[in-house]
Amino acid sequence: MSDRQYRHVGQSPKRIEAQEKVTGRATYTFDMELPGMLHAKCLHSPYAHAEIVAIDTSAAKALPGVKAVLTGEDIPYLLGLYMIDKRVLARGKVRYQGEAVVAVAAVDEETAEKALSLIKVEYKELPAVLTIDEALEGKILVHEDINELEYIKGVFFPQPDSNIASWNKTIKGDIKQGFAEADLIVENELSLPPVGHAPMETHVAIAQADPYSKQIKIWSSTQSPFGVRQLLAKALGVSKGDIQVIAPYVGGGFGGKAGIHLEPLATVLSRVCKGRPVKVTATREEEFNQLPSRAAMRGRVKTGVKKDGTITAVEIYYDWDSGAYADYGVNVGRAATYSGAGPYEIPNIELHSRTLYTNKVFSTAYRGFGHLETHWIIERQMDMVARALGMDPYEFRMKNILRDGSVTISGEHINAYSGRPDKCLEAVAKEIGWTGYRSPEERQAAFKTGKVRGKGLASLQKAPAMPTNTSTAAIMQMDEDGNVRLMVGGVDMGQGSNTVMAQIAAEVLDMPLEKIKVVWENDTDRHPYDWSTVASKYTFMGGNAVKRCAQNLLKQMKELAAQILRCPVEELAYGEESIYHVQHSKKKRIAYKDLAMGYSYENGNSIGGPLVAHGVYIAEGLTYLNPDTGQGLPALDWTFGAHGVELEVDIETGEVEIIKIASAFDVGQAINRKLVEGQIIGGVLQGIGSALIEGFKFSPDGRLLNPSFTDNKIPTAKDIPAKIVPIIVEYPQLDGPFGARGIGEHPMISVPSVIANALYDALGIDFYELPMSPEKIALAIKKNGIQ
Amino acid sequence: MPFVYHAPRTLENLFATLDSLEQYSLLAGGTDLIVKWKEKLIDPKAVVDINGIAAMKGIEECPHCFSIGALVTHYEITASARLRAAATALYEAAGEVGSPQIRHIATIGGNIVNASPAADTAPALLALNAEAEIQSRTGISAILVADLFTGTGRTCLKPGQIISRIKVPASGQNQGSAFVKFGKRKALAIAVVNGAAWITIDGDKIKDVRLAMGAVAPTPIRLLAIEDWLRGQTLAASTFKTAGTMAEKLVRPISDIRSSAEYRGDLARQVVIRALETAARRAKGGCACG
Repeated sequence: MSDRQYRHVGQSPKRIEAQEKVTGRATYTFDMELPGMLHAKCLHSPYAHAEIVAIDTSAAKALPGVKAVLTGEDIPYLLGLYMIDKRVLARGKVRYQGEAVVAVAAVDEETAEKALSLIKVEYKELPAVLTIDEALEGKILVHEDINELEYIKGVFFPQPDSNIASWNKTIKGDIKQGFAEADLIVENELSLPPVGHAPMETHVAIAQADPYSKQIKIWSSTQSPFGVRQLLAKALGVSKGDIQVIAPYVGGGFGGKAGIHLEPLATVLSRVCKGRPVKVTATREEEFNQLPSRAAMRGRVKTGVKKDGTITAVEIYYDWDSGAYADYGVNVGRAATYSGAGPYEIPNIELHSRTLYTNKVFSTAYRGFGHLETHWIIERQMDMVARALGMDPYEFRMKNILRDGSVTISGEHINAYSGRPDKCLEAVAKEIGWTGYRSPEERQAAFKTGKVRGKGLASLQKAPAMPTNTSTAAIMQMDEDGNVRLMVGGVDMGQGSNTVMAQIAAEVLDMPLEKIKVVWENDTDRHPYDWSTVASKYTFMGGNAVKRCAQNLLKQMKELAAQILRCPVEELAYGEESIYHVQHSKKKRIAYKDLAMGYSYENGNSIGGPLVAHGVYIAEGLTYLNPDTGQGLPALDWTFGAHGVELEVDIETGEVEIIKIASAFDVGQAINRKLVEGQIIGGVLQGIGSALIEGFKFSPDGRLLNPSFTDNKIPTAKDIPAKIVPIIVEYPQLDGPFGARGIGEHPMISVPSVIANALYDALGIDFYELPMSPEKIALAIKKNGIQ
Repeated sequence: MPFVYHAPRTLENLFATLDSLEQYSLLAGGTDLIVKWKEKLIDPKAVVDINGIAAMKGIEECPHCFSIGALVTHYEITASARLRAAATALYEAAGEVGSPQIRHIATIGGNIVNASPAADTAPALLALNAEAEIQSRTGISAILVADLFTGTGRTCLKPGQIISRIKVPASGQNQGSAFVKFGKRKALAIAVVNGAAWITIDGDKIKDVRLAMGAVAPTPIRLLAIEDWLRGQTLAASTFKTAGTMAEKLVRPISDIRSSAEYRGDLARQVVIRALETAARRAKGGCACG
């Protein structure tokens, strides 16, 4: 572990914007009002799949206060991240219940809503694709034009005349031979439903499209201002230079605000309204029912093992019920191919990941990007295989876990600096006092008390899923008084990245943290570029850019100071916000602030000029994956982790009480310890939501039945386990800033698996579907005759 | 749609206002009304804000009972040490309604007349044998809260009638009550099943008992047959278990998005067992709130 002492790195300063947020002064897009602003509302499809026969908007248009009514026919643009498959408003047909069909802009929301009630849409209902099997059968196509859709070739693989938006695979070794070598083969099928992101601030966008030029200005609750700029420019066929995207404070993203969502609609409405700003605010119901969710998934896994526990072969089919449009869904499916078998060495593997179009609300990135889903399958399977072997699941994992010298399923060589999944597993097992599964007799004895306890373990891994050329940048300017204004491309949506960046800058410059002023309200016209704030990559990438930026600032200051002190740069040192000669009297030190705008001698002569520094980082060493085998180097950095849990089940009601959950992650080096712990606690709780509470329910005809907080619950403060023990493991990554790796998404991965594994320990019952609601648990207990 | 807003400050003015209106909605805490309104489930032509009426406020103690104004908030109930001691089930139920924000504004009267089968205070009031004072321009009468509900979202209140106060008998020596709720999560959840028990003990026997349950029928219900059986039974775990089994057989819950009927039946059993156990413990312990 790292034994280096830092002034700021590894400390726990509070978030730099905390006061502004808790006092309610922070302004979010949701709060914004502009002069002359109009409000937009959408009419949604009541059907999962239907032809739009006719739309009558005449009465709505005639309503006083209505400024624009648009249908899909009015908007020719096609949108998409990887598959260009989505319209701003449905055109010709609707592909999910909740899809926006007509949009109205009016002087206020009430008028817009009234206008919606005056619109008549005639539909002809079509048979819908509502299950994974129906999607695979392909008798009905969600996109009958799938063969013509534009997509990123070589990365995604839509299948002709099918509902398969992309079929990605990993093929390594020879599974036939691997299974032949196995002493035991275990097969299982598990699944999980879609869930909503439920950010505190729903999606909201304001657009102002200048009627006299091509210029478009957007304020959005987005995680990806540069992504919005890029995708909007492409869809509208305008230059990126004409588009300005501003992200004020963002009230949570969780992946749901990556990509592009309400911005194009706000833009086209503003254009029609002669440049008046138009605000589109998703209601909570639209957040669940119109905007994308996390996909449902079914995983079928077959594992071959030797008697000593060595894995010889794995075959996996992940089928993603990804809804009506591809959005991020196809890339979630792709990430599963190189990360979806867990942190284990597997010599022979075939992993198929099929992202399927269905007539349901579409899916997108969600904290962990497919990993909670794949690890739900894999980490349950690891326990079930261990049991079939009669082996302790801890030993079984340790036997196969990635170590220095292991090769991942995409062919990447793990080394001593790649992180230590074994140390994470070891730490959580120790923390919960893991001694193996209880015996059936012990279980039987516990049933008599009405409350039974169980323990479980699960491992996890994740690397950022991103293009090989993903990049980011930072800019610093020094004020006259020596404050440093730092501009970064990443969006701080509550994860605390700006605080982390300030710590890194202050560390390099050896300055007080308060003197690093991070400029909020990311603005694509002013802030330096960042691809998108997603994938748990920003501490790593942004951190490296900021570190280099600060080093660049320091270099400029030293070069100037070398002239003033009349010595070579190499003989200069820095500290206490000043530059000085290593040997000479420190009285001659030059304060940073005296260099900020250029240095002035006593006689008035001046040299230098305002200090402006920059730093960049581009993902290094990544390669495209082989389209046939998925082999290549997709991972900038792996963050490994593990959970251990002890829980108690009320056998009468099925209620689960988590006594203690210990969660360990090898973050390389914590930059802000408190923020790392915050990510762990928040992620674990969000994982508990997926495990026990959350999940979309659909009617037989494909209507979402719980599109509100009335019946789509997420955990509250009262659902926080009695004890969450964050364990920070630190084996530094050589190319991470101060050794750091990402941690934003990881804590929720494998939480459902670890809870299910502990439920098995408690009850001797295996659960294969999420959520494991009290009802499901109670009925399973009854079915198994436990009393 | 446009509506007319009235805010009478006295009961007299209130009744005059109500009599002048063809159709109206009463606004107390608004936590149900505004939601229904936003979801376009209602379209009131007139809204009568009753929050200014002092006669409908405050918790008063009368001999062997409490008089709780219909405008008393759930928070006020949870803040009352006397209700906690002598109407424990109601105290507990009020603390389970919504979130702290909702409990600070939502009223007990509103929770009752909203007539949700899953309302948390309803089973507690039924088990405690609470009465509602129904008032109109022509006078005042009292009926058991149990008799108020005529269906989901429906009460027997006629136009011009309001509930002004609720009378809750105070539990005394050898008496205790308890409320139990099962929801989808630990806070801010609509009950999958809820229920309450009130018990009077005589040594190791059950002298008198009332049981009520929510979310298992179109209205909150009393479990009279089980009460009859329980009277005179010995205080014992087996008695409570039998009562629980009877409840499971007695109730006819539905399957909906929140739960299957089967699981509701299982929970009904647990509600009865746990509410009786806790109520009996409180009756025995002397302190009603233990």
